[in-house]
Amino acid sequence: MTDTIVRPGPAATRDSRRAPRRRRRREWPGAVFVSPHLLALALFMLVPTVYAVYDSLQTTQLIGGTHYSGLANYRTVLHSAQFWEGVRRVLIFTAVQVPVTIALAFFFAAVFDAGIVKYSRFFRTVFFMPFAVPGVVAAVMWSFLLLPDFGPYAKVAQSLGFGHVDFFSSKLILPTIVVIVVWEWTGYNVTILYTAMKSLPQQVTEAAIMDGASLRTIILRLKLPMVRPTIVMLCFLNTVGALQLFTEPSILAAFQPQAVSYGFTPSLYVYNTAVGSGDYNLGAAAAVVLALIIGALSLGAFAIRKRAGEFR
Amino acid sequence: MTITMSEDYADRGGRPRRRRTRALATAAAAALAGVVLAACGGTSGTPAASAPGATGSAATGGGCHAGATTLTAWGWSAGYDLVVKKFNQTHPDICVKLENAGAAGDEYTKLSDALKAHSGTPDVAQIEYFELPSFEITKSLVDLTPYGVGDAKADEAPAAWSQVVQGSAQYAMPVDLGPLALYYNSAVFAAHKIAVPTTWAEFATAADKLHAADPKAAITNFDPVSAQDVLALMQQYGAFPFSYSGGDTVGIDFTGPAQTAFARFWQGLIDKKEVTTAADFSPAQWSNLDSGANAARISPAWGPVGMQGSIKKTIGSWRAAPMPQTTAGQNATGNWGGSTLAVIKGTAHAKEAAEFVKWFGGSADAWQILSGDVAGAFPGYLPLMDSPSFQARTLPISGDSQPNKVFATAAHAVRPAQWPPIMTAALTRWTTAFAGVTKGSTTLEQAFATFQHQMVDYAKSQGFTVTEG
Repeated sequence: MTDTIVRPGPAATRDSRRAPRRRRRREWPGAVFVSPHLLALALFMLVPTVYAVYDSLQTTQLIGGTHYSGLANYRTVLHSAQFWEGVRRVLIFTAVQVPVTIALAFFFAAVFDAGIVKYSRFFRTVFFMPFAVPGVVAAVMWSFLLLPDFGPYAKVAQSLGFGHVDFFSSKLILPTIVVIVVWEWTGYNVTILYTAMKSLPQQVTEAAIMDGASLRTIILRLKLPMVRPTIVMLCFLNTVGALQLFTEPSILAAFQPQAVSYGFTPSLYVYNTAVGSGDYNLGAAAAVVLALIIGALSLGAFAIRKRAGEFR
Repeated sequence: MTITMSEDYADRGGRPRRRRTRALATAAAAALAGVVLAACGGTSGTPAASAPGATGSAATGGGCHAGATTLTAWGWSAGYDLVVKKFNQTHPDICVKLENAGAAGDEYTKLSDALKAHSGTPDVAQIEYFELPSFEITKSLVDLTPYGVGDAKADEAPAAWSQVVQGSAQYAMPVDLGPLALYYNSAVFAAHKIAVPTTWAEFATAADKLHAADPKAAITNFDPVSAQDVLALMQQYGAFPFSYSGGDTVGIDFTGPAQTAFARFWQGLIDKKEVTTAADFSPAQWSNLDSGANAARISPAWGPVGMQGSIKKTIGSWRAAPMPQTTAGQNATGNWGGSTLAVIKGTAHAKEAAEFVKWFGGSADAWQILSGDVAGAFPGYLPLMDSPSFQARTLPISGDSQPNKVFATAAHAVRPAQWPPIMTAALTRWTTAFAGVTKGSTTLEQAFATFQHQMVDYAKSQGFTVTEG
């Protein structure tokens, strides 16, 4: 994530302007190495974004064709209750899903790191496996597992005395999606946190053990503060991902159409407006608004991390 | 429809950055879709062109002669590959390659994107009756009148034919139909001494009687979330909410007297738990039909063939009867489903394409396969539909009764319906507007009012003049 924000490209240019000619010549291999990334970035991010902005300023009607309409589409999006309901829903979703995922991930990473589990390599792989399953497949699998009348979990809930549980009802659909996304993403976070812990200096832990610190103290007082930058980064990554929630609800919608509304999440609003209703202009405007919201959050997070001294 | 698109979003490639990039890419994914789809469909000349996920596209390779004119057809229904194969065998000068571009909504999305991109359109596409006006208004379909497809009129059910013509133009060739009938479990009806209802009033009485005798039983299922289901019933009831006869004026009426009466009738049954509201084609619905929790199904003609694959215990007890009527003595019904084949603007081979669609929807050869076990389509083609041999066919699910007789009679009694050119948007919004009826948080009448408002707004935003009521 950091490399998108602290772009190596502009920094290099600035340096080379000041640097003598000879040094600039030495830098061109670097430019060659980053160019595929920059090319892909331009093709799949910049060009579409510019096109989306352009598209969002037009209105295409079945009767009357396409014409420039200024900010009319933005006004429609900003006044759309469905869009803001979706924004509110993903914010709630994020507030629950991200802390749960990271707390679980930290717990398992610490357990693996402490070496108190046998076959930890095997379990690390098992934990990572959900992440290797494409989101669509995961969502389809879960929608079968959670079927209200025939799924095994509904039967388990029944035998535990919860009665008839409908995981796709309007009350439970969001918690259900939280469970699915946590299941998908915890392993990924475990891997990053575990790697971060492995790269901590061994001597510090050894010293703590010599001083008689308990395992709990080592994990909470020693490891946790030391991997804090990693956790902050993961919070950021997970939040940005969570705000774009799309795959899981859209797959669940295919199975239980009444559970997921038109603007269930902002991404679904964009999709249903553009593809479902054929209103690509309005969809583009909604996508730009969503990108601005996420961009603002990213800048905010960046400012906080900078103040915390993460970047110099 | 969301499944196919979401694959783009779901591919995460193992790197977190992709997730964010995807966010911004979402912004323009819609805009780019046309380009991507053009790339998918642009190579229609080669068999490998069938998009990922295509099924049944390989079966058309055989039987093509060298030098034949090659046509690409998009279609998703079961058995279409067999029909195309037969066409290629019997028409040496034309070679049709069938591609599955996704079912219904997925295909329409791809088709309209390809049309916008002016690239990758097929020569022929399967389009359901209700979606035709959406493509007519964008001038995307070839008028088949100059190619003599109009000769087929005499062989087609009027309910099918009236859907494919607009003024003097013919925009598609009808294939199958889905006239509604009341499909009931004769064992359950007999056990509770319920007479087969001929009017909706009798239907409500029968529902009361059944529910009183067995509080767990409901006479049928009414899925408010399934737009086509509800619209077909509204058509039957004389409460079809749309009117459109070309041009820029569209009529939308979900709140008129007939529509309100319709809403109150079904809401009354829902409130009394005398009908269930399970999702159509869901495991719950099949289970209800099989356990006796639903004593009847308001079924399109193509329904029984699929149904007998999904139920086990009550095979043999299902009988078809004409739909209950609003007024005694009438015999009106609605139509649910059925497809046409349209020739798409931009084709270089309109003449050959017209020949293909005319044969596909209107020949005994094609219908022999279409009405067979694999395709299970109900004919809009009169020589088959009215033939004694077709009407005498039996199905295991219906014992020794002859449901085709009832459905064929119904096919002649379908009330006329005009679909508006905004059905894609209507279907996308319908689910959300009607979900509350299933949950019990809104009534059908309230949902109709909400939907009326949404559709009028949408139609106006698309530049239409809207007549309400």
